[in-house]
Amino acid sequence: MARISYRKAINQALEQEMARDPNVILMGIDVGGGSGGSGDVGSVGGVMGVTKGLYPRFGPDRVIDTPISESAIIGAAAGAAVTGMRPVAELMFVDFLGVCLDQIYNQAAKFRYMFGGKARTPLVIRTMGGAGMRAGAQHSQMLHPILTMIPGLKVVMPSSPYDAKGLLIRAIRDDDPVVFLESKALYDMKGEVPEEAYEIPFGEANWLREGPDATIVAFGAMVPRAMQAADALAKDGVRVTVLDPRTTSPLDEDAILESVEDTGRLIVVDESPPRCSLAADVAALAASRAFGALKAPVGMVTCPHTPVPFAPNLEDAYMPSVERIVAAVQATL
Amino acid sequence: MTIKAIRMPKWGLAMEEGTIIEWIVQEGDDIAEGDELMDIETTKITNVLEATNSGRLARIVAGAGEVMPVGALIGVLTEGEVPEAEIDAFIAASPATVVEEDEAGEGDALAVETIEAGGRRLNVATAGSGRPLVLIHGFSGDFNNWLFTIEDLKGSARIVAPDLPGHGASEKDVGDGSLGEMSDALAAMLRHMDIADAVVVGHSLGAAVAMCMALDHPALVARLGLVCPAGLPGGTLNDDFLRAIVEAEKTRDVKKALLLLVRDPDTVSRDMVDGVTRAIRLDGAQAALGRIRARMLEGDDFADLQARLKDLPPAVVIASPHDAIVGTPDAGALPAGWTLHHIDAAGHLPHLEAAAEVNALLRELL
Amino acid sequence: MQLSRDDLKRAYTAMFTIRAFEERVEKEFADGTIPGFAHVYLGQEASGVGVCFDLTDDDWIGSTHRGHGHCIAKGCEIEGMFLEIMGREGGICGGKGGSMHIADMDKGMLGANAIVGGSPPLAVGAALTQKLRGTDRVAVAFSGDGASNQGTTLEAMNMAVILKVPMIFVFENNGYGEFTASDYSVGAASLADRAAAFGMPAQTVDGADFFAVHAAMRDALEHARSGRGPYTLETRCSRFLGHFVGDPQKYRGPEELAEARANDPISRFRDRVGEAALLDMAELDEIESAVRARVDAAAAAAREAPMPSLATLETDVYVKY
Repeated sequence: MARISYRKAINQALEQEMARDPNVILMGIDVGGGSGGSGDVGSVGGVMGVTKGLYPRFGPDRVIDTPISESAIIGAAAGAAVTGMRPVAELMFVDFLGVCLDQIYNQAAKFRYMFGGKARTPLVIRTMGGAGMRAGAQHSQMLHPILTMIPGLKVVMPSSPYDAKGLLIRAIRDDDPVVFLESKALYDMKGEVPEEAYEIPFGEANWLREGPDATIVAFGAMVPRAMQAADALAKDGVRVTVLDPRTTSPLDEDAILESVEDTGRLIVVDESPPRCSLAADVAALAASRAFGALKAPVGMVTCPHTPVPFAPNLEDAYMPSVERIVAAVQATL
Repeated sequence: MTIKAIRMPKWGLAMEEGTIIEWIVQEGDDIAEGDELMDIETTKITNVLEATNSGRLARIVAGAGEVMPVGALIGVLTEGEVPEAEIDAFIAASPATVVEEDEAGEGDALAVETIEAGGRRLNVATAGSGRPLVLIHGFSGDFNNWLFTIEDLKGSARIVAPDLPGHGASEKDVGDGSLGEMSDALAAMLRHMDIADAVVVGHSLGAAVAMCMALDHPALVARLGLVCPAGLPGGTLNDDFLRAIVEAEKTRDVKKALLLLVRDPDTVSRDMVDGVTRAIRLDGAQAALGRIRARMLEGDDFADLQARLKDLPPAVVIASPHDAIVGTPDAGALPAGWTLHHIDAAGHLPHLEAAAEVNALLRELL
Repeated sequence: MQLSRDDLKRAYTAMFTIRAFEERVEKEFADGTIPGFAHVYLGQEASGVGVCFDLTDDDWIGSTHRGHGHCIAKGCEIEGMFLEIMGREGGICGGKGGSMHIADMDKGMLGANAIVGGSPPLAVGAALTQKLRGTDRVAVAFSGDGASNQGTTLEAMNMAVILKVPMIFVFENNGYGEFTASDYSVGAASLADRAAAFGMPAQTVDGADFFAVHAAMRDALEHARSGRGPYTLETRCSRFLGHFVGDPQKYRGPEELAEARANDPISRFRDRVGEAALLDMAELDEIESAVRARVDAAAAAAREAPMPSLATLETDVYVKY
């Protein structure tokens, strides 16, 4: 099986779904690769090169370069979706949520409910987030908690190339609006990915490792860090379970509760400030539904309640580190 | 006065590391070749590592719970009196990362390729040299199911382990899902590989395919090994398993199905479940399995097969009294010259649960 | 471009249905049978009906918080609308939408929209679908003068031009965004002038004159369907009532209110067809009494209808979750 990058896995999912279904279109800033200039269109494929090669293959009607107008991008994608297309709109950085949130949460996410079940909005919003790129406060956040709390949306946080491809194909085939939140720290991560198309269902956690001593729940780019922490803990004889819920909405509550019932110890790793985070959400889940099983307070490894800082040492300190995860697990033992 | 390494084994192509669950022996114990040393969990299965040398277990380098890469030093055996300092030096000199298997020659390395033949694209693993040994997996499996057999026999045979149509990384077109369709596909592949007169071993559905191929393409098949075969007289077919796989949506559905296959539930590791789940999530895979299942339940393939058993070369049949999927064949109904072996320490997967016993029987076929 | 007698009857039926419906909404609101609040379309009937007159169920419109008239002009059933506005079982949206969220996918009605400037980006997408599928259908975004100042609207206008989608931006300039006059809030002589800045053709028409709106819309449709991209119409209207039912409208002088009532699109339609002897007044009267009877029956039935089952509280959030 080929080992390809997270970036390539996303590209492959888009290409295969576009080839399979003519209703699938891409739209966003530079997704085609810089239309209207005097050079080659399609030589780039987005600022991260994720959509590279799709414009040359599918052309300007299906890989649509747009103006820098996030509300119009997301709104037009939602309008196209509710009238029969399957658009994949790119919101370049999730930080730009602020300039298009109305079209996401007031429009696309509410259509079906407001309209009494008569609308279908098969919209995918691909976006990237996360710190570690020295990109400063307005290009480095993870805003999954804001998105997760919106009824009508589904929120996906792929943590590996294999998951990225299968979850994106699932997202494109899904009939509800889905935010596909890519971790830009993972674009170069490599892993085995089947050449064929496949789907990974939403709401099913991935059990990356099973151990009896504690349960680490981690999301997105925090998953590889949790695995490194698990390796480090194993050297001291501590065997932990690592769960990646894969989607924050729907959330695989059963898997988390099942594991907590087994281990009695829960540590949540979330790249987000602590308040109203997924860490808080999962901790509340355990407290309200597995309280009797808990042998120690829930460990929450999060970012501080600050914007993402710029200076490299500050940014590194902002992120949940392997050491902090290890320490949080040890604190529960 | 020698020092020998105990290293993390490589069981199958995909294995990159293993977790030591527990040591069965302790430091200072005298070890004989073949003794069980420890339980190791891999990406596919949990299994026992047996000693390949004898000596005293001088040092446990990696303890329970540790995850070690393939080839990494995990213990030290000594023969005769060896000073502690020498053992320390030996350990210090051992690279912590992957060591390529030194005993296996080039030809023994497992290679996986895609072969286009007979209008189909089939995935096939090959290893070793010598007499061709074709290993055909069962329903919803893939070539990895044979990893212990491949490991054990690749020094004595040219192993050819395909993924059946609709399975693993092979094409998902299974035509009418019949035994004939699948055996024709494999026959085309074998001819493409210039293989004839092979020892063909099949498991479950794969055993039925092997028999079908022996009847339809006799030049390709010299001898038959049938592990928990489907379709023999006296056997059954547990549709709870087939249906569960065809309809599975979540990983837990797959796990429930796989638990039907084994005697010891611990054989079904999370990673084994993930492997099957990944395979059936490929576009078209469950539809293909659905067609094969429907053909098994509604078609006449097994009845046709049973009517022609006497035309087959004598077969070695390996069955288990605890097999919840196909049961055990009626010994009296098997043609003369066939042998039937019962393996008690396994369910429907003796080649995984009791690999040593199965491999010994298969070795006799070569 | 002569309208037939049947066309005229159809237009008058639609306009008068809006009139009677909204008057009934006013009354029902006063009776307390309509929860929340309601924004009525009284005085703007000719604009919605003129724009939608040549559209089919396969053309799409996106609407505004003042959307009842657009719904009726696009063919939504008033029985389901009354049920919806009263929050009853059987409403067009099952009672989950309400006055500001009436949508009917089967009629090409993409939804009233309680967010000012919410619809234009969505309509760009509906138009993009038509372009990519090669249909000759269009999408229309209704906006008010208020929405003309929203970034979403301006983004959508530029995007529509860039993508050359078959779309018509209709700005119903009724002079007020909530309580604030457009003379104060809109920094342009006309909304049509703004379209020009995006490289889009535009017309400004008398929104109380059905015939003027309809003629301008035919120009817009011809433009959009010929692959030349979007078009803008500004229909100048007058709101008979305030922003919402019950708004005392202290911000408008008495003369202005009287002028608005005097420029009644219903009377103007009657006068025009009467002068030209296109229809008998008796025929129009007949339409009016039939419409009134239907409206009365629909409202009465809605008042008696049950509330939605509590079992529907958590349904239809997702297709599948």
